[in-house]
Amino acid sequence: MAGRRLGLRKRLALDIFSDLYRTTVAEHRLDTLFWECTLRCNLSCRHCGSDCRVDPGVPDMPLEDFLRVLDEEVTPHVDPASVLVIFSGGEVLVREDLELAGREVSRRGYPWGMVTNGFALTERRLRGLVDAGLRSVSVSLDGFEREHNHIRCNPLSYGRALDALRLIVREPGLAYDVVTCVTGASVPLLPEFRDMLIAEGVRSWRLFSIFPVGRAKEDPTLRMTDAQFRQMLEFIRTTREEGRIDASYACEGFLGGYEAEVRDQFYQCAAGVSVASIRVDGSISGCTSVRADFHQGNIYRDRFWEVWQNRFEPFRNREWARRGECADCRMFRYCLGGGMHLHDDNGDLLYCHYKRL
Amino acid sequence: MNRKIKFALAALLGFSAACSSVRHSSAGKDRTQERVGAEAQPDSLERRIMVMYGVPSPERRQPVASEGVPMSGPAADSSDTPTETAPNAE
Repeated sequence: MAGRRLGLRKRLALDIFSDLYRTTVAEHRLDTLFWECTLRCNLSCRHCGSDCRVDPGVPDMPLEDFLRVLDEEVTPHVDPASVLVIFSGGEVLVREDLELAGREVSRRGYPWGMVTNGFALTERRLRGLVDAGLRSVSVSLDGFEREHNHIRCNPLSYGRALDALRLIVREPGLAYDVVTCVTGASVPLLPEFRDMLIAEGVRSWRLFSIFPVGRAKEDPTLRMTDAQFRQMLEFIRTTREEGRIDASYACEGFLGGYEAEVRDQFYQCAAGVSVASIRVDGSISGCTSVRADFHQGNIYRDRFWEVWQNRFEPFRNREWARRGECADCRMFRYCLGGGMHLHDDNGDLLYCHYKRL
Repeated sequence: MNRKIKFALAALLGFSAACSSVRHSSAGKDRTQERVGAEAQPDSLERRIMVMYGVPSPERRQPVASEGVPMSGPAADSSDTPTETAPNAE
């Protein structure tokens, strides 16, 4: 078991990586742009970090507002082909103009993808989206029927998500993965679930732990114990060694001895470094997973590119995170306080991955 | 230390792939992200880190139909489409 211990070879490589990463931060080349196009959702999941619901009380952002930012603030400064636009929610499929949005983004030369719970994905809808230039999609499937439907609070959600996955797997040229939020209850079922995914033809699988933000904060039963967390990482490691499916842990936190063993790359938080988001209310931030108020501006008041170039200081200089349990941690040089999404509005760390090992 | 040497060292240690997400940096060049062209790395999509709530990097740019929408399906496959790199390939 890898645990916390870092061998000399890995430590040296991490030192090199940290050094190279500083250049990446200094450049802050935008390579991923989220558009949180809606907070509406056709489900009301127990673990929703965005606290989405059928009627969130927040209107969708009009497509023309997002396109204006692309045209006036982004396209003049980037090669569109090198910036991945990700439609995010809420549940993006509730937007009836999603195909139009995709077509307009594609027409401007940007590759685009979306994250979906699959509930409303029909064959016809998928065809329309692919024709509109959809290049990549992530589908949420949180375990077998009982676990998935429990988390998603809908008895039809597993069947619909599986149907959607079967459509996606058959679609040539479409990048995809399955994303699974692992709970304590689902840890023992992971091997069986992996085998099911492989039998369905799935090649890429990303596992998350549930972090205490949004509704997930209210339900501690969704979280793993430290032992279960280690068991999940060990499972990912051995699954990768077997090579039957490309399993990986999400980009969440620094994992000590598991670094480069449960993910393709060393840990880094790209939020605000190479990733920006435009929220449904126009706020400009890092990843959409960052729910705390690290907003750097708003497209209705500020110029996006000016914000991207000149603000984002808390994202690019993480020294502020060297406090609390991070203050004297020897791993800070590698983890820089963990993912931005793991900090609350006060900047306090919600939990440390490394210390769970 | 020169960036190339650092990458060579990382490769020697067996962690070339683990460092690939920072390989596209262009130290010493203009820090402004320039419009279309010279600085854009053709494989930058493949090297991006997959972020929370994000999606996998699509394969390399597909041929674009006349109206500007990428074509899908086998007809869109081209010979320069890279093969997917296996995880942890060093």
